[in-house]
Amino acid sequence: MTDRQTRERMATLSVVALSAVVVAAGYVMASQQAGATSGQSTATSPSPNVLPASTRAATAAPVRGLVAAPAPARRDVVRRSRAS
Amino acid sequence: MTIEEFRAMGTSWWVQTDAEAVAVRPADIVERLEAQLSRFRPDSAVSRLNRCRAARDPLLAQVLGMALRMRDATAGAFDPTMGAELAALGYNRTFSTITVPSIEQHVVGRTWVRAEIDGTLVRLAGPGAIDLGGIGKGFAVDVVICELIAQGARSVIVDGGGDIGVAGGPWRIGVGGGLDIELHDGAVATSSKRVRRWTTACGQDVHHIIDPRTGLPSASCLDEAVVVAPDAATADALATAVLADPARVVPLLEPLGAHALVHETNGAWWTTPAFPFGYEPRQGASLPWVSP
Repeated sequence: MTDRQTRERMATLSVVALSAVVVAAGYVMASQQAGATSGQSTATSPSPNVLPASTRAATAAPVRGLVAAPAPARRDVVRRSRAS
Repeated sequence: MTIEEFRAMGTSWWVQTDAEAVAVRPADIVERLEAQLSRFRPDSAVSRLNRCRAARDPLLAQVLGMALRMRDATAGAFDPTMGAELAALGYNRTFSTITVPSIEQHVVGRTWVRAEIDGTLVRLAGPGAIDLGGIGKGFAVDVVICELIAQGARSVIVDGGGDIGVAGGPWRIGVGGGLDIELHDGAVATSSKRVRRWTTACGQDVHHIIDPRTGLPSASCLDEAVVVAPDAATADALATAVLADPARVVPLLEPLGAHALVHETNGAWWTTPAFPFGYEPRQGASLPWVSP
């Protein structure tokens, strides 16, 4: 085998080896992504659109005609209406 | 400016007015009303009525008449004929003296009574009793405001144990949930099942908000109600009624010029849609009576 043939053979092997590394790396990454996705789906709530029953109960008005009160204002007041 | 603080009706009172001097002290006004309207004073008009089944007293007739009208306006959720039920649960003396379980027998169900008013004469039919505790303090707040205005005050705020009435505002008043309202002329009252609780002889933990349908402490899903209304007597009665039967009373509030902020037992705060966090009274709304 001449020197030229040897260099061409080494170049071909390098390309093949590099391709194998790229393919392997891609496979590993794909596997990791699939695993992560699978783990996430089992570890958290199914979907933001499906609230746990307790949360739905907390957001439903206890009596028809009521709406949620606004956030506290925390302003200075002269007196407070205390429960009696 | 004048500020007066005193105790009456089992609670603390605080009155502020722009008048420099007043001829009749608010403490004297409230004491006079308590002497006639308290069921814990044996010589009051209410006690005479419950004991003798009839009494002639103009103040009693007026306040009981208002209370019965509030019963009609709330479809029975506020009811001044719950005296026997409260006494049966042990609330038969001023609350601060209820330190031991009552020896009374627990009564299940209502004790029937019908009140009839003919001028200044009040008659009772049936074995039950009258209790004006759900409206008397608010009425007293309104009377003090009217008296002070009649004496020349233009700006008044009366805090009767948390039932607050104002005239000539604006006054900014704190309510539940860290919220506040601005009142010019009107009133706000707060009722709660978390106060005035005691243990009966049967070991029951009870409170003073009675559901007239059952004669027992209300088991509604709310434990506190704040009501804003044109006058304190109305706010006082409606705050009690909302806790007793919220599903029935909440839809009735707006026609009465009233609004509610309520606390659910799970911790959430709710309000009627037009709750006046910057409250302006309806045109023509005013304290509906002056008859000291």
